[in-house]
Amino acid sequence: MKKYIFLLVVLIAVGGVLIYFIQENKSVDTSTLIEKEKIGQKNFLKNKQAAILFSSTIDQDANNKGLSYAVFVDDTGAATGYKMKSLELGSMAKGKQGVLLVDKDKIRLVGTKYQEFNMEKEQHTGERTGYLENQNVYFSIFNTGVNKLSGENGYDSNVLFGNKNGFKNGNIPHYILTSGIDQNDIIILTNDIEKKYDLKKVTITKELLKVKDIVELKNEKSYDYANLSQIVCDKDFYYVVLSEYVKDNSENTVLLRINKKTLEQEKFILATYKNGAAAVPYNPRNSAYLFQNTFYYLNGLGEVITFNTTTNKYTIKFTIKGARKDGVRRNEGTYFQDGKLYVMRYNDHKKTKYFIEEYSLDTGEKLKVINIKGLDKLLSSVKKVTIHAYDFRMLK
Amino acid sequence: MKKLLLSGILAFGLVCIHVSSTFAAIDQLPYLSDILQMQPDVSEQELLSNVEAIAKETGKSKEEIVAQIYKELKNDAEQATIEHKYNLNGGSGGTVPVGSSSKGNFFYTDSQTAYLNHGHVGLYYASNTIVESVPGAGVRKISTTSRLVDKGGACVKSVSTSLTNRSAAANWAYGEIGESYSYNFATNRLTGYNGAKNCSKLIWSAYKLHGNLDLDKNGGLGVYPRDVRDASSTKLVRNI
Repeated sequence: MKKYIFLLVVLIAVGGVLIYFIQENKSVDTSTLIEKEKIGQKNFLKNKQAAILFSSTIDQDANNKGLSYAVFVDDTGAATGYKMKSLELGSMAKGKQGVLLVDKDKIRLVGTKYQEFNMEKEQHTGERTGYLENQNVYFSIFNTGVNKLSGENGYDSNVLFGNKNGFKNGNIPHYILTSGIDQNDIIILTNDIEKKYDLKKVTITKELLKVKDIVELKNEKSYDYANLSQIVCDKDFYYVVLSEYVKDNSENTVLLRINKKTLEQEKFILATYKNGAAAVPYNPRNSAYLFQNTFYYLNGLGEVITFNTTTNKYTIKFTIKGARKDGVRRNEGTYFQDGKLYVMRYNDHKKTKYFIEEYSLDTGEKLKVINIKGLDKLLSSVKKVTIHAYDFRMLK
Repeated sequence: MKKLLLSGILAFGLVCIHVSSTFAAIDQLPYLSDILQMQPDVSEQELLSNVEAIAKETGKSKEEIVAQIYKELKNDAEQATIEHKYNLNGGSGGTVPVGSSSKGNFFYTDSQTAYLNHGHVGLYYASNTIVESVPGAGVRKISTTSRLVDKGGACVKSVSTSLTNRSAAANWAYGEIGESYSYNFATNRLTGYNGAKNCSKLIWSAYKLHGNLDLDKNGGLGVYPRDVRDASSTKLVRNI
């Protein structure tokens, strides 16, 4: 009898140990996961209305423990995630051949035909992923790091560019503060040397990548500038929003406008903040938009600031209701499309904690709310690392 | 039934073998296995070699050195528990952009770097640029608007020294960009200024070399991020 009791105790112990190991190694709820087979289907994107990219930060990637998820929201609002390796500040692009997903050692084309391409060199931090329609070229720029072989201030921002026929490697030999797309070119603002900022154009063809100087920013008062928006362009100007550091507890949010032809530079102080960090947009790489002669900028306080490109007048047009004012982020994201603003939001008191709000930029009216089902469950089941939303976009 | 019992016993045996083999090689010095458990990315060889070097330099026995290392690691872990800001389940209390601050200031945030919540520190090279040492990338720079930190316990602090020293320290740290990351917190105070380094070693070295300041609260064998945060010559600029 004692023998059986002993064996029973042993069995319970084994069971306990096994359950512990299973729980420890179970990183995510499988019901919200997308299998590789499913993401490989040709019509995978057909019923998807939005995508959100989450990743852990680089400091959590010791021994490849970091991870990222490309989360797709279908037409019913249900969220499912495709697990990848991490890429801090990763981003996505949509083009003719589907959505480009990037992690630290692979790029994937998802949509028309699933394709994977291995990178020659591992990356750890993203800068911008995009699509150049005329060339039918996808690109992804990375914040790679110092290149001491290129001289005292040598810095590399590696680039991958291509399409379903294959991807090539390129390099922008600069540290990029912010970037954007101007029709068929990439525009970058570089900051290789302290307090020196240069606007440059990157041209990509199917074979080559070239970097050309546009203009050095005037900075007579030797300010430090931090990026608050991507670079957006109309036919006459480049626009970018930057934070101008005055002193601790005082920062100006400035709009810089540069004439493409004359290279004349204008600076408009849109606001001054005591807590500059709180005013940093939800996604500084997608916080600005040009539509019908109006420049739109959504700051981290939920204020949509407009700048009339004809009269140069600016104002707070409307405010996202219930936006936090203390700078705390809960995976919020922004996306502009066809005169509308989409904001991914979080509310701890709602049953469906994550949701997308659609606003008319013209009237500021909230047009629609899409509740994202299952995202909270997916995120809360990620163990041992924390992941953040680095990119959000609508797909339809 | 007997077969089931036998399989159970075998499974248990396998688990026991797995657990015991992990620690089988470490029995030379007291606390050694505990230290390596708390710093799993530091090899036994690296740790022993550091312990030997410190023993030679200080005249203390190796046993005394490992006991001190263990005490510091344990104190740091206990402090992390007391501060209790980091949620081990990954559920986030939210994140905050670290934001701008003056050149030479530094930020502290709770962080799971190297498995334990050692915390993390990064230096303002310029008011818009952070220089920090992180696993994977080593010493790198990143924009202050892109660098997110966990909400709760994060802060920006200044170092009480001249503008010249602050600027020189920040420039020195900037020159270290590209150096690889070191997981060794336990004895990083006594390793060289150059080469691989972790976040606290980067800032401590910068101000040791430029201003001769010792940003280490307890002056132990290891400089941990909280040691830098709580050093006497630092002053709170703002909570994040």
